[in-house]
Amino acid sequence: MRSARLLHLAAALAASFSLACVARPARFADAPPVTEIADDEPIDVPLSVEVNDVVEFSDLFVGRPLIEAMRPLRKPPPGDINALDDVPVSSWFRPLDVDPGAFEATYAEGGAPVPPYKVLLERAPSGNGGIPVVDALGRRFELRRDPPDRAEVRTAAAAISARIVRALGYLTPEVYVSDAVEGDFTSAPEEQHPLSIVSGMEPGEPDVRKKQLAKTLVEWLESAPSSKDGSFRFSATRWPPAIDVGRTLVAGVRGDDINDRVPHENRRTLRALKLVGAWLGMTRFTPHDLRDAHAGPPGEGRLVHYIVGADKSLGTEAIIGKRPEQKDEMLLLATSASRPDPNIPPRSASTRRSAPSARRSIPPDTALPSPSPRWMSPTAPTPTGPPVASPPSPRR
Amino acid sequence: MRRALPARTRPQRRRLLSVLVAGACALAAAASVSTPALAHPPPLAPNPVDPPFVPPEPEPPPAASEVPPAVTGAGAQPPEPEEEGEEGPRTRRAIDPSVVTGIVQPERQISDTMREVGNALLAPPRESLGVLFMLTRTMSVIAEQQQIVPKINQFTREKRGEITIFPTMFFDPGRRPSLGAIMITGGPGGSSTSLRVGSGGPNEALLETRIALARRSPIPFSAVAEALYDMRTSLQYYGIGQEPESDPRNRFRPMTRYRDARYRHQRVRAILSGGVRPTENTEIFVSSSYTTHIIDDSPDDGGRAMSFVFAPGSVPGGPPAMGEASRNHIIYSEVAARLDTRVDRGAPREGAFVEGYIGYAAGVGGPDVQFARFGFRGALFLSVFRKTNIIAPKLVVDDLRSLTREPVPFYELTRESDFRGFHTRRDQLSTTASLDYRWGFAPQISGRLFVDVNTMGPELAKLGAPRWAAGFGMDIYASLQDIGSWAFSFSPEGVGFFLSFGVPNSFGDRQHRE
Repeated sequence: MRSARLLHLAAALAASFSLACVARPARFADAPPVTEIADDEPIDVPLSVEVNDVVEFSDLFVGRPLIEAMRPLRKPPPGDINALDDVPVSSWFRPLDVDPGAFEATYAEGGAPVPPYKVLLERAPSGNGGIPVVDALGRRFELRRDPPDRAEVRTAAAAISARIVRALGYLTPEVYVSDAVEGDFTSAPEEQHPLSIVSGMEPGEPDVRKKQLAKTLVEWLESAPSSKDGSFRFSATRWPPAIDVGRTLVAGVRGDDINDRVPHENRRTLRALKLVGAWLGMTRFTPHDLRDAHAGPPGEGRLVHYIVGADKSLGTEAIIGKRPEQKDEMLLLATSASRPDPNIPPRSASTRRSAPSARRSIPPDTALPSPSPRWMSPTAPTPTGPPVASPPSPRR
Repeated sequence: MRRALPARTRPQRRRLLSVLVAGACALAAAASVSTPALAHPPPLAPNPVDPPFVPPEPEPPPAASEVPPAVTGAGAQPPEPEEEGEEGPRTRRAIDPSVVTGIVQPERQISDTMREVGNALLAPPRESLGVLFMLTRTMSVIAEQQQIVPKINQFTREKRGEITIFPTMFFDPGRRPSLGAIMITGGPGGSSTSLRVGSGGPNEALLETRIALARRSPIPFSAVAEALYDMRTSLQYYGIGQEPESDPRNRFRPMTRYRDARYRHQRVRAILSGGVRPTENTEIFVSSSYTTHIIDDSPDDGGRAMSFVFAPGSVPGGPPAMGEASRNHIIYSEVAARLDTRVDRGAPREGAFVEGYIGYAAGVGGPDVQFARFGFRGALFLSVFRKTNIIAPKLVVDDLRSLTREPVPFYELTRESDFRGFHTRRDQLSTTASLDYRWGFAPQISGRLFVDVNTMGPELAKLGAPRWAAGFGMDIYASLQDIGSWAFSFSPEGVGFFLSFGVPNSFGDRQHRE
């Protein structure tokens, strides 16, 4: 009697369990695939999000891996792909015509910075280091230099990778390689650009602002040697292209953006950045490298999502080595991304033991013939007329 | 006449029930099988006798005035208008993820059931960990309210209106658990405010509010104003000295078998503090507090109440007589200087740390209590094997000297500073020597082994027999500050577990002491 009851129970359990393990394919709606995501609903300028590194990095590298390790469910499918498994056009992904002429005309819309440059006392969030300036046309750029012992490495990587990433479909700011002499720079302690990016911690006293700006400029100029003709080579990132509203959240959605419907961890555009970064030889990809901008005419603005910080690509950091500012940042890329660049020969034991002066080095000089493609502007002409550029919309 | 049905025997009922259950399961199984089967019928093999299939003529596209076809699926919305060309629709716009993906019913794999079962089983630890990390997120704001002046490179936060509220729960052996909540807001720049409330019954209450401000110019400085009211009961008092039971300064009541007294403590406190960072590695703090202490017998502990364990009136600052409460008002001001050459406070780093302080306290409106506090703590952080393997010897000395003949209230006496064993002793001088070994074994996590030795006494020549505690733990840190830590401590008195968040444990703070 008892065994019969147990038998019934076991049979019922086995039947339920086996039926629960039925596999079935996904079923799609009988409708043409979506080719464009309508995430262009006008919104007000949202609050700027600058997540604390302490919080973000501990969450990224400790909290979330531990928590996700205890969630054995399959990763949900991306929420930004259509029924054909393609990524439709959206504010995150908008491919361009990669024909060289068409691409450059669309990408390099504004053109290289034009001296003289007024150095601002603001933040330069589009990459590591750098100084924000306003060029002669009133446009805001963020200028970055090469490491002292690796001429042209980082600046070239910034300009090349920004174009490659843009050609893939991601939105990137315009990046140019240019040079200038010391006399092209002046400090503007009282000037504030309409698209300024401030932290609120800038000193208010004019003397202190002036001293700090002068110090910043000197340090920036001295961070790498000048070329033989006394000019300083730099990469110029046009940032922000619209109103900078801070970092893109690495997870979840922005509560103040009605167009943000897909949790960021479920976006294929962001998931694929691992591969993009690995392909571009980026040893790390941090939350600092994704930023949002509120673009559009007044009343019709919406958020556009950019990838910045391309100067870490093409194996530059594998050559340069760890910089002080990255000492506590963790690798976001998978192990494939942190493998050494195959184009760079591994250092032999004898090389590692040798003195720093015996390392491979690239001559810190611009004696090499420069290809001067269109995106390089060795000497941009100084405009004779008044500034013609005007900011798209004032910051709220 | 109603005829009674024959009663079923118990085995019959059970058999019937089991048959019914099995039948229900079979029916459910059949329904489950039929659902996917009907949803996706297997493809039929073509019959060679049948004529070839000719697809029907395509229907003409609907006119613009017609209602567009409804979109199925959860959260569906009417599709956006489509741009149509000569050869049909070219673009289709939508924003809802269910419409964009076109998935009406997601795929299901055989392993999904097991995954869901595992997911349900792992839910409690997973959610607990999630809450823990949610707390660390907020605790980083709390850490800013500690007695620390941020370095210049720490002024990177741009907080605007972040408000966090989360519940709190405190467990302390021998006391009632306390429930409460804390609300923290981050304002523009480096300002933050917090409000904390809690209660564990009629004799346990807490209300604390705090406003902190930090600026980087002209030199980094911070200022904190805070106010507190709390009432705690069943607090333990063992007496003065390293060996309270044999210390002649303690007058136990005869005929009592207890050696640990319980008391109730009410505090009303206000603190103003400010600090500057004149150089990268140095900090100078000035702080002043006004505190009202009310001490009486713990109402719920019967024979363990302070007046029953110690002779009434024999404990300085304790109840003057059975059933009465003592009330003291004390102003305490302090100057402290700190040198910390480590690049980061949180991560294991090489460097050195020295702190010295001197403070003066005076009673107001009562007995002429005056005393001075002074002390120092110093530590070396030396790397061994690797840069992130740090061995750190540390010495902490805290002293208190009465400046009048009036005895110092027992709650103002020095406790076992930085000792990670049980805190059951009070006296005028406390010295703690410790040796820590930290090693980073994962990003932002380091392990810790430690051994502490503490001794206390009325003066240097009369220090008691040392007590020791050793243990292990783990620290979670960010680049610039501690986030939290836990540790198990083993000592002859027992095993302790410590969990802390946001509080840099290598820094002294006399204003917030018990």
